[in-house]
Amino acid sequence: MTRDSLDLLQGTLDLLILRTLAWGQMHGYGISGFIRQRTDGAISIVDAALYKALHRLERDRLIDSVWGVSENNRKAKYYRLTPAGRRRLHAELDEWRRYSAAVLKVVEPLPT
Amino acid sequence: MSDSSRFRRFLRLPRRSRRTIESDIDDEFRFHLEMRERELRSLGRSPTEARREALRQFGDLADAREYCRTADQHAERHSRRRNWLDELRQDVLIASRLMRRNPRFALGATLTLAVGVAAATAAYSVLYAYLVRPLPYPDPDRLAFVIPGPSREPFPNAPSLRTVDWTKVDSVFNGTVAWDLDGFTLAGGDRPEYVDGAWVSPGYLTTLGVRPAVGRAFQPEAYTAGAPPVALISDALWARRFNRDSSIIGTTIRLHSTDRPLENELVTIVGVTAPGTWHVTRFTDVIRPLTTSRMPSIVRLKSGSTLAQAQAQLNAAVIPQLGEVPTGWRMSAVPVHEEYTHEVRPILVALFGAAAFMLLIAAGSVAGALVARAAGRRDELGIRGALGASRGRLVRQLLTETFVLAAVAAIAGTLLARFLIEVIASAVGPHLGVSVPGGEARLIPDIMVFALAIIAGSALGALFGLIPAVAATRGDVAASVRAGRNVSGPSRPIMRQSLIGAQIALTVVLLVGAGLMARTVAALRNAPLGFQTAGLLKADVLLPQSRYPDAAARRNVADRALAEIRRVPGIRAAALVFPYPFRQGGAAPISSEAGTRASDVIPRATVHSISPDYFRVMQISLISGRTFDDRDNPDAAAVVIISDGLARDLWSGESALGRRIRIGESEEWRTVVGVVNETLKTVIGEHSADVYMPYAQAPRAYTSIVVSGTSGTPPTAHDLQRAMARVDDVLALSDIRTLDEIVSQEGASRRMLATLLVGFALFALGLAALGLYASISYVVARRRRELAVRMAIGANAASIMRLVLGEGVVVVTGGVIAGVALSLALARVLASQVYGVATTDTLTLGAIVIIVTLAALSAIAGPLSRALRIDPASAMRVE
Repeated sequence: MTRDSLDLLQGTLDLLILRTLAWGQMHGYGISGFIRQRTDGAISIVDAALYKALHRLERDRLIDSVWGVSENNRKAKYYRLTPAGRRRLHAELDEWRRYSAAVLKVVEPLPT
Repeated sequence: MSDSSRFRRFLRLPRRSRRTIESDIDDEFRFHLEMRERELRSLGRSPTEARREALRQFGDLADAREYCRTADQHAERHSRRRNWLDELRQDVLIASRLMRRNPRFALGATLTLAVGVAAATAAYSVLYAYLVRPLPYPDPDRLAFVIPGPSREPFPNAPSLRTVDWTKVDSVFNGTVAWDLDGFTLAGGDRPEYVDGAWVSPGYLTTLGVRPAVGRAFQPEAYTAGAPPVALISDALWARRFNRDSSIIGTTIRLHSTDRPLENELVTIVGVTAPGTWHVTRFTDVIRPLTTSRMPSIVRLKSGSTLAQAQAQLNAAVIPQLGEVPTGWRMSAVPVHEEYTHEVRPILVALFGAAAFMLLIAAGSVAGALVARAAGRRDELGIRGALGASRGRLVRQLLTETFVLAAVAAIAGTLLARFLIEVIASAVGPHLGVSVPGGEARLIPDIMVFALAIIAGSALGALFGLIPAVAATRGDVAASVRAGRNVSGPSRPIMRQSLIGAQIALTVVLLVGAGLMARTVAALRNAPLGFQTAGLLKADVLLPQSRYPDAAARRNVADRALAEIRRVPGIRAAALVFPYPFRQGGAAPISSEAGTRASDVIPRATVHSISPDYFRVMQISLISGRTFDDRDNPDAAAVVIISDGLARDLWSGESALGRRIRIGESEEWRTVVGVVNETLKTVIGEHSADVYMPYAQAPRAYTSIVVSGTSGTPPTAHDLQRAMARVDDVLALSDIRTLDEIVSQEGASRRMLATLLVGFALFALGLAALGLYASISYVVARRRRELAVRMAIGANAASIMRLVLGEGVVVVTGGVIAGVALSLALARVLASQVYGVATTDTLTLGAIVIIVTLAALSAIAGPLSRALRIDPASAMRVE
């Protein structure tokens, strides 16, 4: 994890992966790049942690994988959301929204 | 189901091993690192720097690799399990869809199997209740029956055991049980009632574990002579007679003993035996303590002692007391369970064997139908094979189909069996002639037997399912799809043929058994009894000692009773007799005053006490001399009438009239005044001669009355009872039965076996014929084109017949020959049940062969005529 990126809260990585795969199937490298891009580099994930999370999610059948061919004609492993993963994503998103709203209510607006 | 597992299965991807998993992870990581390197290089890093940076950014690679491997292996195990279940679910779905698509086939196959399972389960339940389930006594395997002889057969000139001191054998055993069966008339209330009972030794309660549920057992003093009279009554009698009123305990009732008329009849009830208490002898409503020494009937072996040792010790204690005994005579001990069930064992084994055969035939015919059907599904299977399903997978699919069918059938069959047993429960004991050990409630086996039946039925179905599954997937199923028809040539029909052959063979065995038993029943019915049974009714009556203390009183009341009964409208004649014909009982040795005996063996005869009308009522014919009349009173000379067989035995053909005989150990000489035709006491067992004494000279307290009706139909029990009540209201009639019932009782178990075997055999014959019909139809349909070509080029009807029949004739002939051979080999099983016909009877075997052949011919006729009516032109156009 780079020093200037945000520390990820427990479980947030899973949410990010699930949300990313909601766009469509993607390989690990793509997921990593996608998250970095979307957050303008604010969040960058250690690759080892990403793959551990991917295999854990696959084990829990929230995502599954197929071998496919990458943009540059290389054999790559693509991950997709399963219906269970999609359900989990929505549940976690709701949870996240409630959580962040609650936090924001406390911290904003700052007294001047 | 996840896409990847579906995908993998669809492509038949091999299951992922640990090595594949690891190399997959490495591939994935390598791809990532290479992509990252390219990215870094495109940003201007040198290749070496790019690689180092990519690795650095990745983090702990070894740890990630290990973590991912564990997760993947876990997922793999899970998905394998899920795949298997998915496939199973898929197979079950296919199976149920197929059943719905062809419900007639499914219903027919299920019903056929269910009937087989039900018959086998019901037969096994009965066998289990009699032969397998332990007797309801504590540690029943250590109990033995004592037989006063070397075997069950009566021993000629056996020594009298009257003087033996039986306490001498007490030390040999861990408990002895003696009893003396008796009948009691229970007086009082609105009507007297006759109940079965027994006088029992202390061991009866302790050794057999008979305990009162209410009240208490007998005190030790109760077994001493002169003790206050006490009794235990059965739960059934308590409910029937006393309405389960506990205040009956300790009260006194009036019980007239039949065999011990001098016993005090005022008896105190001390307890009620537990419901379901089982008495090995016969149902016993009243138990009273035995105050005399008596030969033990049941003994409990000491722990560690064998039956042979116990028997040797028993003889060592008894024989010295007898002085000299005939050579070869000794007492024997037999396990109680064996002794109790030895008569029914062959019937039950035969019955279960027949039911098991029927189940096999049912399973075989369903398998045969499936073989033919599966052959028609080669296209479907071929497509699945072409798409990558392995043969094992296809076999598994077909097997699942059969298994589903078999499981449904097994459950339905078992439920049917459960219902059946409940319906027949009360009829089983009377039909077998031996009541169910422990009571008929124990016929319904525990849940484990039913579970076993369901498992065995399903497993059998699956086993037979292998046959069509293997047959259908044999050869290159995919090739037959490509070619658009069956290219594997005529599939080897050996499997289908042997199935039908085996069915025919087993059917022949069942038919032979049924035929032999049917002839046995006919022989029993036609056996010359020596007396008339039609329209006759028999009832027993006890003349209580307290009311009729001496011979004169008994004679008097007997005369009055007969006169009263004869007055009942519809009754033609009435007579006294005891014992009545076919009543189980011993025979007494008969000695003659002088003459030449036919052999060294002392002749024995059943001794009857009769009123003068007896021969007329029973239509027993007088051969010489006269019947009894009023002359034969107690003051006149003692007279007897004997049967012709006894006359021959005693005086070898010389006239018996005027000669004198002595009965048993009696000192009195009696003069023969008549000779009558001998009657059968039993059709199958040993025959014995008859001696008749006039009731007036031998007035028993317990006697039977036989009455004949005017119209050839027996009078009603009710009329008789009312007539007796008019004479004296303590006279209770018991065991009222027609003579037809009494005589047919002996053949009951054989009739039942015959009926069931005929039923089983007809079911089997129907299935075998159906199987043959289906098989030949299938052959004709398959070879339609070939037959058409042959007809087109001028084959005549005879050669077409040969072609179609060829297979059928071989199968039927082989099956019949195998069946006859198997029947001869199994003849032993029925040997003890067959009467009046040999188990290898050629007439029966020949008739069965003809029946099976005719059935086979009629099964073949349909498809054969279809084959002959094939229109060559249209048949060839179809292809």
